[in-house]
Amino acid sequence: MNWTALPFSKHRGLSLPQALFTEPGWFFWAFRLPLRESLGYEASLLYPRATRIRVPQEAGDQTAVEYVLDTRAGGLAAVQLVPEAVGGDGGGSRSFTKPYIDLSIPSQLAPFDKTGGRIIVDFLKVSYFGSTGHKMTRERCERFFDTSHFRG
Amino acid sequence: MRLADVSDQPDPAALPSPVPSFLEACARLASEAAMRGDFVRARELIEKAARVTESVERSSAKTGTP
Repeated sequence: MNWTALPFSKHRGLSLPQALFTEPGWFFWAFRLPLRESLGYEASLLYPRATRIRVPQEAGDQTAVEYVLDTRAGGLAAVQLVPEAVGGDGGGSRSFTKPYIDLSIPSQLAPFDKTGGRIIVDFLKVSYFGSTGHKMTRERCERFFDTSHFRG
Repeated sequence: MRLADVSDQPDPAALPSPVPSFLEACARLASEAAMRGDFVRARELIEKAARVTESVERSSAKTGTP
């Protein structure tokens, strides 16, 4: 798919998949704006994908994603994989689990939580590419959201 | 019958602080709210806990108590 380069904003020149990897909170903020034509269409394609990313198969079928809350500063403190059996009871007293990676969670917990955004993108990079240092080029970001990493 | 006098009352400073239990309850309720997808409620609870923590820290810094 040919993703449009953003003609505005601090992420001007990036495509929406790149913006999602750069600052997921910005994408979910922008999603609420009346984006026009191709950008609106692309955002509507991306939203369900970015909020239901499958845990990679290598992690095992019985794996859930645990989101740990930061009740001190507000927002998201950490994300980790846990056995689904642990996730089944809703996580710990400061955490909750989902069967997928949801990039919108930091911004839902705290609207301007850039740290939480970085935490979840790092978690995604480690889960899929093995390292937080994996360079996310435009092509890699777009390929990630083009392929079927998503739960229906 | 003896009437209770002030000296019978526990010293407030010696009572355990309710703050840790309150913060624990906020965290638990926030995680439950997030689990069921109610992020508005989760955010409110997290913000409340963060405000209390900040206020306790500010007051501790003033009085020099831990």
